[in-house]
Amino acid sequence: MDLPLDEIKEIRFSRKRVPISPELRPMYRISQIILILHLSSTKQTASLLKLQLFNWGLQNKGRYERLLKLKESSDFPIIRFDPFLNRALNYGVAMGVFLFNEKTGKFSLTEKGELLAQRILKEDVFLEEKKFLKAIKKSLSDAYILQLFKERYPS
Amino acid sequence: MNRIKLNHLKITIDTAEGIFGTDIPFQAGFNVLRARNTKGKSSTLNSILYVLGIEEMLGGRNAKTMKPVLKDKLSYKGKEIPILESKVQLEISNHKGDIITLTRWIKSSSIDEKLIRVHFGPQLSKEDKVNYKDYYVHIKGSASENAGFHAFLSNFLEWELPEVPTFDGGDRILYIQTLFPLFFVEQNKGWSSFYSPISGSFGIRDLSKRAFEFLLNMDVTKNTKEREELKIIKALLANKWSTLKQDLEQLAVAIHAEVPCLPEKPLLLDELSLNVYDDNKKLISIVDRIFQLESSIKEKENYSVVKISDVTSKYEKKVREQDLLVLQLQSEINSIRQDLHLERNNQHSMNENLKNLEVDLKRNQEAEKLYKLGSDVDSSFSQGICPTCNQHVEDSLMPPETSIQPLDLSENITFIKEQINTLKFGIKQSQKVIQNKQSKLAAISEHLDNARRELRLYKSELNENPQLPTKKELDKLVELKILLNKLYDVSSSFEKIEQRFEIIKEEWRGYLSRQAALPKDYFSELDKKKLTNFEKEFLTLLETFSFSSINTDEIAISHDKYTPIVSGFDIKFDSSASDNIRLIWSYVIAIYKTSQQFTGNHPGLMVFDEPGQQQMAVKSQKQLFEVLSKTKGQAIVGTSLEPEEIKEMTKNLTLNVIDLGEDYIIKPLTK
Repeated sequence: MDLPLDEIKEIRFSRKRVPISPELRPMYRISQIILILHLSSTKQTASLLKLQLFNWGLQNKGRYERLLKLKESSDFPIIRFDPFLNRALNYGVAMGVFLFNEKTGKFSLTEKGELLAQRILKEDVFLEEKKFLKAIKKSLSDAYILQLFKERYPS
Repeated sequence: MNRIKLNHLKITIDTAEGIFGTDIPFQAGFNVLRARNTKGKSSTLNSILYVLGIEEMLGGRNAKTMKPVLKDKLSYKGKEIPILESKVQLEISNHKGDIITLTRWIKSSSIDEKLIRVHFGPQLSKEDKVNYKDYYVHIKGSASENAGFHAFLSNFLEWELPEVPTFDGGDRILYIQTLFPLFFVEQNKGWSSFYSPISGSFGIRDLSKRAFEFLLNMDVTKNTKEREELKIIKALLANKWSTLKQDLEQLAVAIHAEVPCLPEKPLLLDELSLNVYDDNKKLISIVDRIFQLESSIKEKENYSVVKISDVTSKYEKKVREQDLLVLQLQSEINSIRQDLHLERNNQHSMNENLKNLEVDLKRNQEAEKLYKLGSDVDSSFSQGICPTCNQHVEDSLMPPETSIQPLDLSENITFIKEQINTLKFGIKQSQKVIQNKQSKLAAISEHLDNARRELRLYKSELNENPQLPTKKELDKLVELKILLNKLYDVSSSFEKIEQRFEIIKEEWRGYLSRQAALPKDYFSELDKKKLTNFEKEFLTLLETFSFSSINTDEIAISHDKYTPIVSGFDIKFDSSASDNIRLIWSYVIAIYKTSQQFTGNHPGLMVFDEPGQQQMAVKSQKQLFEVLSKTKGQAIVGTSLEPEEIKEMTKNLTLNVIDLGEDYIIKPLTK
């Protein structure tokens, strides 16, 4: 193809904004973590490992079953440790919805986070996720998850 | 044209002490009704509303809106006298000079307060012997049915009240009551807004606007209604069109035909056509195909039957040809099958994509809700601000080093929606392609079957007794006849569809021409002229009345509400109390003047009860009197100014002063 190169005086490149998955939006991910802490964690506190496991489980509906049957199968799935989850946690701590306990290394909900959790529960969002988390309840404790993890990956 | 003129008002109250009441003659032009404060002046003016069945403007219905002095007991010379019976009578005339007298009872032991008696002639200015008829207000149908007083009144005033949209989605007649606030300024509520709300559930949308439009006889009401009607017609036609389309497509599928041009919407297609495949697998119109078949049948019947021995060498050649044809068709079918398979796969993957996109869309919309939730709880959760350093950050969890700039959520959603639309379009297109390919496949398969059958026939005949007539020729003839009959059937169904198509086409044409007749803008040219004129009159009047709160250059009339605005905002009723009153004077008079100039529907009557509100400057009131005495319509002003003041203010003006004196207006009536 011939381009009228003689007539072109300058060429400018401008970066176009790109569409991204909603899972990469801070608020979306933070809201998911809030639900995990609120619905499926004792004292609304959970270790990073547990959050990573649940985060993996919430990615698609096919994984719900794996988590629901974890107690029967005792088979810790191969999960992806998602760096975006860590970033979302950082974000959430900065926003004041999560509290990071440096002694235990666990995350918990602040009062603000709790308020947000109540609102999310009332709102017409995350219907499948809420159903799933309500089904699994608080059955998987940090300690139990850690134990399974160690059995599978003895170091 | 002044549609109404009040001639005479009379209130009659029956007591044990004799007959009380008041008797007021009005004249055309400017009338000043003067009485001392709290002596019943407003009661008198309000009784005009009552006798017309418009007392909803006073905040209620029936006699309860009237003061106790007209229905319970009146005091006279320090004595309280109980009332036995009371009534209001009003003599009015229309622009043709027909006179009627209305009577409505406020208190009566025998006559219902919802009844209005109409005498078809004067009863007060002079007493003619005339017939009367009873009408009713505030019952179902009083605006539209025969015995309804308001139906009678609008007829008498030659008001063709339009049907206007209501809140429940239907249409209702613009009730006569709703017009009055634009020319009858009543003392209690009338001075607080341009259109004081009326009690009573009319359920009409944008009531004040519809009333204003009616008084100026604007095209808008009619056009809005026409627009709504056209919307319904369009939906109806689209529905008819899609049924017709479905029928035609079914017909086409049944005989492996194709419809060359069939748009989604009922456009102005010139004609419909239905094409079928001929012997050479080319598309021709069904009518041509029928001709073709008919002539080839005739040809075959006319020929003498061929003997096999005559055709042996020809047949051998035919067998070879037919062999080739079968092979060709076979490969053609294979390639179409392949195409079909590919297209189906394509459609399948598009459907998968669509499903994924819809999940994506749902999640994005959830994210949008979550952001709203977040910012409801705490404003620091808004998008794009770092919670730690309060600087701008991209709305993404990706590390900033990637320097990817994500779309805004709302843009992201639009982006996905557009993708979904594109895909839906693609799927529809692909559906069409599949349909056409299937038709073609079926047609070719049929050809292949025929070719094979012929091949078998040629071969078997070559093996048979050379003296027999060819079976093949006979077979072919029967086959053609069957096909021809089938095409006859289809062709007659197609003709019926064509007739339906013609009807729809006509209706669609009618729809388009009505659509074209509507003005493009919301307002017609004439409407715009009326509004401009109204604005000019309004501003001129404001200046005449020495309005000073705002520079009149900055005031305009809103085309949205028909009320004055200052740089886009409604004029607030708080700047200067007396200027608010000037606004209402000007508004009411400007409506009259504009209607007058453009032969609108204004009744030609304006009533102001106590226009000298809020310590109004005497000079301004004088201006009002001057303006009113010069307008052609009838104006009635109730005032409590002293007689000398009135005399001073109305020097050199033509007017009719009705002075009711210093005492209470209701007093013994002497016959």
